[in-house]
Amino acid sequence: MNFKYNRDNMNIRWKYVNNRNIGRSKIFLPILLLFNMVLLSSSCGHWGWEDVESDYESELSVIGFISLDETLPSQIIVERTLRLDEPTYELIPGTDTVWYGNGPNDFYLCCTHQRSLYGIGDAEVIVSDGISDYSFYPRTDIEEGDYISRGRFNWYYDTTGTFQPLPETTYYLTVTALDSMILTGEVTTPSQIHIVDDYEHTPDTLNAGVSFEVTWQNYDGPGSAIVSPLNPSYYCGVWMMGEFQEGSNSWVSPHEQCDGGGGEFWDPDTVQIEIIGMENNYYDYFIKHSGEDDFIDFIMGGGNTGASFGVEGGIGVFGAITVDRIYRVMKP
Amino acid sequence: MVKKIILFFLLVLGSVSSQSISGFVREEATGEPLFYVNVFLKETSLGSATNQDGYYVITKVPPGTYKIAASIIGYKLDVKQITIESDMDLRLDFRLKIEALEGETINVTAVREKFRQMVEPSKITLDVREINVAPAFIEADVFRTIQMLPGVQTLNDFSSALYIRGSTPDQNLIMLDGITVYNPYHIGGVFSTFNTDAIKEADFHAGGFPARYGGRMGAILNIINREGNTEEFTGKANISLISSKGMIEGPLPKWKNVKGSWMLAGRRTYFDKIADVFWFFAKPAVARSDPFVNEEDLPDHIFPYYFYDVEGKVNLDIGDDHRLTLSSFYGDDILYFEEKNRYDWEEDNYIEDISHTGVFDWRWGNRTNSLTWRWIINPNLIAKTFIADSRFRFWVDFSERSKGTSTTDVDTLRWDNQYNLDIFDIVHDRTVETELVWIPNEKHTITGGVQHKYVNFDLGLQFGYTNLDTSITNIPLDITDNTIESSVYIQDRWKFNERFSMQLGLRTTQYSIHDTLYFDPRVGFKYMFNENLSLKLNWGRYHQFLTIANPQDENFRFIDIWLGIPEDRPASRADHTILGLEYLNPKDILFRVEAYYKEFDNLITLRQASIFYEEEGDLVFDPFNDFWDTQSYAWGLEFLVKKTTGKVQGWVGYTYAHTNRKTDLHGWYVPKYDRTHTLNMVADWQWTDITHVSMAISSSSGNPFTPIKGKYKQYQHDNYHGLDWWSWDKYIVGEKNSDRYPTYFRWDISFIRRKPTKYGHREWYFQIINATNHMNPLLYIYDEKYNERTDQTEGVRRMAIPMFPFIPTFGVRYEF
Repeated sequence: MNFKYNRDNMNIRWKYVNNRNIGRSKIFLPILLLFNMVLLSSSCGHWGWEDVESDYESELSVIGFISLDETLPSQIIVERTLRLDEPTYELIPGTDTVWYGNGPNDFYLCCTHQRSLYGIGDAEVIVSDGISDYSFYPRTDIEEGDYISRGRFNWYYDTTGTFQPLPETTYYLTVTALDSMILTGEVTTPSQIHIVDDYEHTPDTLNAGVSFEVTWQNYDGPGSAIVSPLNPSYYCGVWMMGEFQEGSNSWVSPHEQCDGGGGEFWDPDTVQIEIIGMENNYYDYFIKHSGEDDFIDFIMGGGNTGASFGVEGGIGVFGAITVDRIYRVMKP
Repeated sequence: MVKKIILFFLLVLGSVSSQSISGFVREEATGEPLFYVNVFLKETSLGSATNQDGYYVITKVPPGTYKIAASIIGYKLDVKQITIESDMDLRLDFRLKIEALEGETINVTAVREKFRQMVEPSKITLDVREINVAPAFIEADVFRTIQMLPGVQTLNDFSSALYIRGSTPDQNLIMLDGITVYNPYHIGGVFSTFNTDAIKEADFHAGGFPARYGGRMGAILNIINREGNTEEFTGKANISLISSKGMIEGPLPKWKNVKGSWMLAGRRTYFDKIADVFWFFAKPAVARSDPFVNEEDLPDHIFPYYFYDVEGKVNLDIGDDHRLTLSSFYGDDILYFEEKNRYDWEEDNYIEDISHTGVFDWRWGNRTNSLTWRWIINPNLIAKTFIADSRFRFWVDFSERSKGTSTTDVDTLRWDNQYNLDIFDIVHDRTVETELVWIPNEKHTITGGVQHKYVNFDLGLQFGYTNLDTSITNIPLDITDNTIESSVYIQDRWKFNERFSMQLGLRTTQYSIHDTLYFDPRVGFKYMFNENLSLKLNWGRYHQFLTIANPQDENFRFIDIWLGIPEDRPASRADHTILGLEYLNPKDILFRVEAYYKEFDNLITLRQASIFYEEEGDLVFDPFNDFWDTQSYAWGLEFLVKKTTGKVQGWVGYTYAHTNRKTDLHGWYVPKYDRTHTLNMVADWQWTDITHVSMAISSSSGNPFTPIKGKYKQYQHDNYHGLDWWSWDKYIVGEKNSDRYPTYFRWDISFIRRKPTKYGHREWYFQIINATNHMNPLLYIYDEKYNERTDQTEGVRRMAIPMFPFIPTFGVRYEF
């Protein structure tokens, strides 16, 4: 047969001719199959779960701040980072995990009590103003079995009441844990913030959906503002938050668009307006660089190399805050 | 400056050299223009080669009688006798017949002519055959073929996006018949937008592209569609596992001195339709199996996704000197869910009737239209004016409506609540361009032009709520940019002598957002050691005036968020330096070695977690307006061996590449698409007269990823529900992209069997993707190992999510 035609209108031909290369083609196919088998028998990579290895060594992780607010104690959260091969939680010895009912067969496993292995409850935590040292300890005045108590066994406070932090004073932190791990920190507290509490600056009655202004004195650092109702109310505009930059001395509430928000069902409520001044370490960790992950993936989430602000020998933050509050009535 | 250039070209109109021969060379059967056909006067040294329009011109021909020949491999040599008189411009067109390879000896092939002429480095032209035979995922795809070329890297198997010599896909200028296409993908990059049935060829510049191209700093890909058969009505149809596509073409009726051709092609996935058929029969059974479900409450469609594209082209030749070309493309991806249910209840004195409708409608795609007027002003001067409109948009519309009545003895309560959320990004590009090509003599080809590009970016997010009394609209995000790029360019391809030639060019651009005139000089030199060996050196500067604001760590990208370069940032810039050595052996096998160094400046990278900022007390949602200043450079060495004739055709490409980026957050790091070593082999072997075997082997260094090293608790200052601190578990990661996935390996193979039928030809094809089922990780997922016996965790494990596993596919093509 001598049929010729072109393919795709290009200069390529497929032909029905007596082809002298057919013999070679017959050799080529087994070679191709052999090549295929060699490739198939080669490594196909790893399918399934595998352990993750890393040469990473655990280090201390501390979240601590000095509070100039009387109602909010200064606190130091002491933790360590974990290696990938370490468990994250452990069962709390001695806690009951079986719930018993009335009958002999009426029981089931319940409420496994676990404790985070990040937390360190037996660290030595010392805050110093350069003259006196103050030892911080985990609180023991919370009821036994309370979830918060178990979850916060590594939150350290001044339990003696002798630590009275002062504005514009430098404090030093030393955390010693797990025998040889030492983390140090340093922070200078900001000046004490004072909200101008008069109706000229902030009216006595606020209206959700209408902006209002809060003005303060004696503080020009960055920070945040929180408006929250004293009683649980959820109408539009009653919860607010915002941030302010360094150099500010007032905050304007956001413009809430509350049309049709269901506020007609609610009564006016007293709201607390809280202005939190943040020293730079605290502000950088929690606000400026918050959520700034080194790695983001939609599937595995974010990851971080472990930021540190005001601490050395580990990761975390040693910062300071100053807080002031006023109260107003807010109408839906 | 624009005026001066126009004046210059007007002067040129009257300065045409004496005695020339010019015309078009086309294929006889289809009328398609043939490129790089050698047209020469026998027994003289005078000659020329056709350009991409199939046009040639031989200047300064002394008066006399000659034999003129047009030759290209695969076509019968056409020789005509002509007589040239003084001051005569002869118009002479050729129509070449296809001929068997065993035909008479032909001196010059298209490959060799291209090798002689091309001053630009890093350019590869793929014809439709090369695109079709390379195994691809389910169906042939031009981007998949280009991914196998040296210098081109990929992010993963699911993406056909092109990462070229350190450039990201947004830095590449992708064009369809010269029209910019902004998001040339379907299914988030699994397929490219371009239907291979409609493609004539693809011109790919990996770098160092000339001054006539601008506005991007990476690479150029120009997809050139078929012009349409000028002789007869023909067509193709293709049915694969997921889609069917077709192309028809034919001549336009002749009227006076007007003639022309047309082409129409389309493609649609039909998995949704197949699923509908199954669902039609399965739906009653599903309804019967659940007593709480009525058949009418079940959805009508169960597979919510499909894509389609339609493209067409009409050419109109008016006399010998004018051609109008109208080209259009429309393609969309559609993801659509709809849920409807109705509930009625009647008890004693109470009647309730509620209906609920929820719709998720996501559409994204491109639309392009262009009108080109080509005017052969005189044999040495050709003008092309081009008006184009290109639009990419994605639009997500989520709406929900709840409507009902409840009636008691006392009264009737009615409600009709509607919520809707719209997210959209629209890029609309309108371009006007005029280009003049002047060939004053055989040494110079001067190209100049002006381009005016108006681009509108509209990115937004809006909520709406409507009930019987109220209607509320909230627009938390609305970014609208209007930019204008006005460019003037000129370039000269100067054949200094038989050995040395150069290409000098300059492009200047005025970007409306900036008060700056950007200059892009580009120079290229070529030295031919002999007719088989050449050395090329090229340097060029490239500015870009738009960017995408997508997170750099994402693995899948369904849409691109395009933005103009903001006012407070300079235009992004790249400098390309390329040194290349090319050898074309007597059997037309091309050997190419190229080294490149590319330096980027003023790049910007989206700050991935920064989505709000505060302005005068308002918290503004703006996730695409905060960037890291980014520096980058890339360098590499590429080897290519390409064989385009004979029973076995294909290429082997190896790339050694390094790309580095720097931001304040991470310092220097390698981006996710960096692959140090890449070896690609594509081969098509004509096994028998009716059977082809093709294979593509790709092996490369694994892509970089950021490893996890440890675990810690991340604390957050609670700023909303009072002052408190809460935490969650998080991974400590190593340096960004400091680890790599295992070596990538993929072997694809396809068998094609083609036979004539009564009306044309039929072609069966069978393909295997990843024939060795090699695990190529797309990403790792992590999990805490859990011991059920002790009820405790035992560290972290990971599992790779694979790219393409072993996938067999098949399909059939028809031509008539």
